Amino acid sequence: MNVGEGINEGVPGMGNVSRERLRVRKSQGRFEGTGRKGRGWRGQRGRYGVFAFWAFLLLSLTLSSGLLLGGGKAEGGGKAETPGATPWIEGVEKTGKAEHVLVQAASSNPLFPLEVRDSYNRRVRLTTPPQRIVSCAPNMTEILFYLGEGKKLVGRTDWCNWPEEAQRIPSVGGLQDPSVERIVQLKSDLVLASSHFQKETVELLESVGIPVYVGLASREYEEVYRLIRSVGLLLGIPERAEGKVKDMHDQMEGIRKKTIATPNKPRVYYMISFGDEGDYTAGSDTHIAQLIRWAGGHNVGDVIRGWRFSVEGLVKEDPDMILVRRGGNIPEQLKKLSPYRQLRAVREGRVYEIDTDSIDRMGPRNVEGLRQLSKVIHPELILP
Amino acid sequence: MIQEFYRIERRKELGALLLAILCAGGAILYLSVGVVPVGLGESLRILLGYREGIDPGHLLAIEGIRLPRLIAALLVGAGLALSGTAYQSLFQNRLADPFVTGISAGAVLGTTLAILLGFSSGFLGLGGITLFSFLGAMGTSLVVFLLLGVLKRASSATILLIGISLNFFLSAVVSLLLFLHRNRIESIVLWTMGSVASATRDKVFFALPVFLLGAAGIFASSRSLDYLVLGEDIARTHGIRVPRVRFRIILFASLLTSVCVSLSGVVGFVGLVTPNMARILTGTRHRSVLVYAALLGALFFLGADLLAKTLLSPSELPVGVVTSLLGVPVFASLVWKSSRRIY
Amino acid sequence: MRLLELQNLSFAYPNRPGVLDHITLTVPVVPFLSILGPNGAGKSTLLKILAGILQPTGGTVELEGVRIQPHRDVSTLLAYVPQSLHLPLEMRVIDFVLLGRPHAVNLTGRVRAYDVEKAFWALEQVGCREFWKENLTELSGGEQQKLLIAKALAQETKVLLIDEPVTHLDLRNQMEVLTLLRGLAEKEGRKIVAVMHDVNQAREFTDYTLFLRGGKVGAVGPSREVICRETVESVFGIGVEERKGLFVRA
Repeated sequence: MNVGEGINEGVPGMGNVSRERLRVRKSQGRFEGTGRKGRGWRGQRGRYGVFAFWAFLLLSLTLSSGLLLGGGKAEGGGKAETPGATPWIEGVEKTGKAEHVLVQAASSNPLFPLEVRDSYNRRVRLTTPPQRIVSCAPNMTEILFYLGEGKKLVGRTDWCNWPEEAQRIPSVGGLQDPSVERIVQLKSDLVLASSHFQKETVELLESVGIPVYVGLASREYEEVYRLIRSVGLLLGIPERAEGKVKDMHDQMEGIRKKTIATPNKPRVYYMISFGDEGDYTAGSDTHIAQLIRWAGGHNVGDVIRGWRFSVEGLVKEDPDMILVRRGGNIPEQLKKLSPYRQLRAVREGRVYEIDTDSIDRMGPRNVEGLRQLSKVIHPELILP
Repeated sequence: MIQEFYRIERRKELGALLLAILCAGGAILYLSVGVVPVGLGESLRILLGYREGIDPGHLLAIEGIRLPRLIAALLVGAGLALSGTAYQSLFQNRLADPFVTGISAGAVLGTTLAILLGFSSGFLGLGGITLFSFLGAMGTSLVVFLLLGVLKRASSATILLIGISLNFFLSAVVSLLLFLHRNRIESIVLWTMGSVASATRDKVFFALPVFLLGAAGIFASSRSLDYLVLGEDIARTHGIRVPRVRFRIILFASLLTSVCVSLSGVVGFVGLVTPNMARILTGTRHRSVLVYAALLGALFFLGADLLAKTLLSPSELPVGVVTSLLGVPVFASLVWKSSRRIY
Repeated sequence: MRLLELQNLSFAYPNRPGVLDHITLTVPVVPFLSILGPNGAGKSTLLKILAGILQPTGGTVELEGVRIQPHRDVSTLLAYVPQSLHLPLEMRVIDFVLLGRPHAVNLTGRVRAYDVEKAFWALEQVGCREFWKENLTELSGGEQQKLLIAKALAQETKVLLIDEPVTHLDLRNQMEVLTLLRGLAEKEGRKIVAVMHDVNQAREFTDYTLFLRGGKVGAVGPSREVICRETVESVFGIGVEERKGLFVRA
């Protein structure tokens, strides 16, 4: 029998075969379809995936157990109750009992031991006044020096540039990721931190026995005073802090009395960034807005909350003056860039460079900031 | 049967016309919407050249802000769609997007350098960021070509691998730079999220000829793309000189992508989703697919930017965020519907 | 004129020498030539060289008197049908076949009527005309194979080069496709060169057969003559006997 014979009547007669029979989904034919690489490949990847998952799990377990075992849970400076934690304040003896301190602190201060709650409602316990402070926020550094305790600073961030003396203190890194190792190496007994600080860093520092105070100030300017008072308490100088706060308050009030009386409130736009970097300003819920209001101006950014604005919004608001930071000759740049160059304030030359650190950082320098703002917004006033 | 074939072809043409009309409508809507209260009638009058009785603030909003932004949005949408289509066909992969050759990382590096070196604004009227991101993107393409020249066997897979490696490498360099200059992180990250808010007339003037060049090049390669979809071997038997054509396509697509990224930052999903949508609507012939893709891309981007500037008014979202959020459900439905066609 | 003229043809991959080893042969003009041989003998490679896809490392190739070189546009001379096609997208049958018409799309982006007709004609030839709207990837193996042939037909070339047309098909489809090819080869002066595996089918359907073994010519001649027990045994290295006109394992 010849295989090729008789089975097919010829191709043109194919038309009468119904389509349903001919169509087969997921054919094993020549066409391999839409981008699948074939079951074999996927199966293999599944195997590798499972292996990778377990390897990763094992690795992270090993790492975290190493971390946990390495440091003990200790509380506060001056107490070394957990076996394995190294006492670094000299003279402290391990008694295994809580609350037992044998050493005399640098100055026996009746306030200590004390416990304060920070902005995250964490308990910060100190048994003696801290002597070696690391500041992880520029405003904390400024507050520390303002309160006259700058000598106690042993570490700061790269951004802490005021006052001059602060720059001579060794740095522990940046705002978000300071080096915990450095802080430990500096034998710090208190870390002052602010909003950028990461929760993991706090926990890490706590686990090696260094107390961390995270101080935030929210929209109400009163919060800044509270912050300074808390730091003063932590340092064991609450009355001095109170005095300094009153000082600040009085100075600010002095300026406010003058500015409040002005009949006109110029429309001020605080330009944080513009153009390709996005239009950012101080929204109604920021402390900067508060300062501008106190300086006798109307903050154009009040139409938003937060920081992100739009160039169209800026055009619509058409401010009387624009405040920019120093550096890069921003007023010139604005003159060349559309649509900023058509803004009234730019055309009439009312773009002013100011020192933004004293305004951005919530702390004692806000007095200067306020004064600066008032001078720019109401040059006609004579300020105390 | 042949009748029906032509009927379907006519329908496709009508569809393209419809899309074009939608684009035009979308453009007019786009111009009339925004923080500054310029109404539809007034914006039309400004477009037509009337100046009497027009508030200068409104004029500035339309001519100085919205019009350049509109053109930028259309260019970026169409450009990303075109280069996405080209790459999907070239690499025979429906998941390819305009950034597979590592261009996005190069653009981000350019921007980072611009910001860190202080060239970020007011440079040649273009903005240093625009210029540097474009150079960074084209520079990366150059590196791709150089590497391909060095390697003996240059297949599609090789190109993709080079793109992936460049992406990783350049991103690592950017991370290093960011780490050393942490105060500028925010500006850079925000730029990468994508935004056409800073479009100006100067930028658009620079971008338009480059865009047209790139788009023309891609359209001219329609026939080659038709065959490349089948694979290199088959394409060769149809007389397509594969290495040469591949070089040309990557060159023009890179040009397009670079100019888009310089205008808007890295905006995802447009270049991935619109080619697939276009193919569902119009089949596989690139002369039609490219037209549909460009129109759909422009429309998609326009819609996304409209949302970006109105959802949180007077604040704004980065348009890249909106395209990603919109893109995911669109993409999911595409995948689900992928076996059903409309034509 | 000869169908094929190979002079000292060689091909080697960088890590694999002797894929084709100094082959010199001529094949007269016949409608249907089959290329047979064990796996790895170089059959597909030879076909790709004939198609202009691969560049020989030595020697020359002439197909119907035309020198074949990779950078030469041979799309008017020959149509190549690959072993398999990985389509990453959904494509309509008609659009796929239209790809066989190189100038189907004119400047305005429309499809030329002449080319549309030719494409439908090609579909008719393979009996698939009424699923012109179907999605290529959803069809069965047999239909897809026929459509690959349809596309090659649409190119209206004198020569069709086909790599393993029926290897993956079931019996019925095999018969249909082979009969189709036989019919095409006898009409309109077409010549078909196909790489095949089944010696029985080659003897039944093709006119001339080339046996390759290890990169060299094992035997070449008219199919009915050259496909005999001795040749099959020596090329494939296996004992066979002929039973009822078929070769079966001995």
